[in-house]
Amino acid sequence: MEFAKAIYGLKLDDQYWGLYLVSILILFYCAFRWKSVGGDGQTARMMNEKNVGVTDDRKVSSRLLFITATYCILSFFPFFLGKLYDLTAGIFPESYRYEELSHIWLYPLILPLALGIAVSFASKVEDVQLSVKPDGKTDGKEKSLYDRLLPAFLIGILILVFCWAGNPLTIFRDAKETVKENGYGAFFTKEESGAFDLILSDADVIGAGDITIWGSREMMAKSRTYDARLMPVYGKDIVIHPEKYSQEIETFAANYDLYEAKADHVGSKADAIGVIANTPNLYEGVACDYVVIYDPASQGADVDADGIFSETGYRKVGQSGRYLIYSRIL
Amino acid sequence: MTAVGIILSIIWMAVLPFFGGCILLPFFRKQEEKASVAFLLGCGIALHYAAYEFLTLAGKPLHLGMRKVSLIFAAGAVLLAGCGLRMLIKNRSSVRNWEWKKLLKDPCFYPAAGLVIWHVLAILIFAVPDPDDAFYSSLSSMSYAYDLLLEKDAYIGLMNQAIQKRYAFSALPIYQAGLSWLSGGLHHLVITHNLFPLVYIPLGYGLYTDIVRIWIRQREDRLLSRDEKDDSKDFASSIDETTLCVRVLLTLAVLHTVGDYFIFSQEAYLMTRMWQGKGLFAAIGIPLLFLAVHYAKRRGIIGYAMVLVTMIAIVFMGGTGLFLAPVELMLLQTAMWLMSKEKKKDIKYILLAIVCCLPELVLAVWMMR
Repeated sequence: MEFAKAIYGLKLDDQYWGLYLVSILILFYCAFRWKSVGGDGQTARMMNEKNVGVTDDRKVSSRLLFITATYCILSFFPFFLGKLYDLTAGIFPESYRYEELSHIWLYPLILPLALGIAVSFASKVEDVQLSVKPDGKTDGKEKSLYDRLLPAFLIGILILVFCWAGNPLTIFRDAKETVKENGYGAFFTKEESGAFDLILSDADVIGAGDITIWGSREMMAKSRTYDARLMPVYGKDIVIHPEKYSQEIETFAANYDLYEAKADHVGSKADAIGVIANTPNLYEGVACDYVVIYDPASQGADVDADGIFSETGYRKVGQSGRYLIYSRIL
Repeated sequence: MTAVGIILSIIWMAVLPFFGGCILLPFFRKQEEKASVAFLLGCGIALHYAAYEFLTLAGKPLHLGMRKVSLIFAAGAVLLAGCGLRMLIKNRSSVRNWEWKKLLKDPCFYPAAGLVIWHVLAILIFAVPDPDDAFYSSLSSMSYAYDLLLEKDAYIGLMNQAIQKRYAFSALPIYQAGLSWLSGGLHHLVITHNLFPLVYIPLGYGLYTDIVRIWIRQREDRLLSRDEKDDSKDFASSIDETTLCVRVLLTLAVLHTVGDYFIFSQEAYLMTRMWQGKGLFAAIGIPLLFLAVHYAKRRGIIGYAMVLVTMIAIVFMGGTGLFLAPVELMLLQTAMWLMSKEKKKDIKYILLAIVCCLPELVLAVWMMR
């Protein structure tokens, strides 16, 4: 299973984009080395009989695969714009060119362009190849454009692969870590579903219908998906576009970030927990029934979170793994 | 219970759409090209999407909930499948047979099929919610729990704000909730993250193969037309398309295996983001539109009715397609017109394409007002 995950992990990080080039290499190998397409040479015979100037099936397949390959390489173009952004980010830190240039809206422009260039390439290659006569004799131009380009192309690809993708051992080791960090394997972790179940059963006991919760981004993002009764006080958008929402909601998001140390913070973890506990009391406009925080111990702090929350008027509902759950419904 | 839900869901997602798509078979009866299973399934899905989109947009002012809309949709889908089944029995010869003997003899078939199966398995095994579920799947669970139709914004969490305009026309999350409801309460995350890839990844490869097949035929026809136009038909039928298609399929499968270099890559849309509107549009919508336009030319207005249905289905998939699809269609149609030998006669196809863009244009104006 670990090996399978590692293989899938290759797809998770863009540093492995060099493998894309490996696949192009395999593609070109197929295009140049497979000799027969029809398997029985039927196409070649038919074309020779009709004197259309193509001597064997290989040329038909090569042309088609050449088009496909060129198309694939050019469709890779938007990614290079992203890399360009990475390189120039230090010079123009405020730039949003990455989003502008690499956005899907470019596809109507990129794809026809890619196809057009690919087809024009293929036509040229075909012209060179047609200099080989139907009877198999040549007019002295035996080395086609393919043959001239192939060695340089393969060497170039190999250099790029080793420059950008690293050696295979590094790739597999890093991929395993990536899979681990992303937590692949289950929709909800046990501690997440345990926390949601605790909240829902508590709400059932006190007869609450829809309930609002406030917690980490990850937890709130998943809460509505777990059960529609769980309503996060803010969702994904607030993190990306806080200016579009109310000051209160923005403050909620910023205050939680203080605790998770995702924002600049000069105070202690105890101060941050105090801020979290007080925020719903200060902003009554944002209904907040349950607050979920990571256990301070998991954040590397020795703080009595239960004491702080009970002093501020909360009731402890329970704990699920790293999650501590408090309710404002007494 | 989960197994029953999965079977029901597959029936709604794949079996009924395939039979629904078979209503197009009479239009392939006298044609040289036969309809592939992937194309029929794609058309059936487009018909379902278009119907659900229409019902959702009409249901909002009429205050129909998700359940009533899904019920009407289900009745229509069964009726359509019944008609399609009748057409399939009558026109069985219009469906392209899979050339298993050739496929099994081809050494490239095994790695290609293995990679496609691996892609599906990888998505099934390693599926996990991502931050985008905070919108798509949350909208589905809200719709399922409260019987809503694109009314409240799931993105900000609380149900106190109306949905943003750019999401108000895409019925995909409601359809996913509807599938969940019609499948006896199967969780919509299972439908979106597991069953969608299970059906749509093979469908995507099928559609790409169809495009390659068309490409091969056109190239060879052009090559032959230099000398003997009359015999081109005989020649075209003799080319071993299956073998060529398998090799291109292998190429695509290899590229997709290591293609997650970017969140807007083809692999990301076909596999990782398949359950989202953007993913469906890029992986299924665009190739289906291409095929619909290709087949439409020889079938006139009826053919363009299928293009229109595909365009409405693309609106169903999301706001991205709403703006991109007309551009794609007009580019494609203009290119076909420029390459045509009968430019005066073929100008009507450009006009028909403009008519097909009308749903997008109307909704875009409505969205921006």
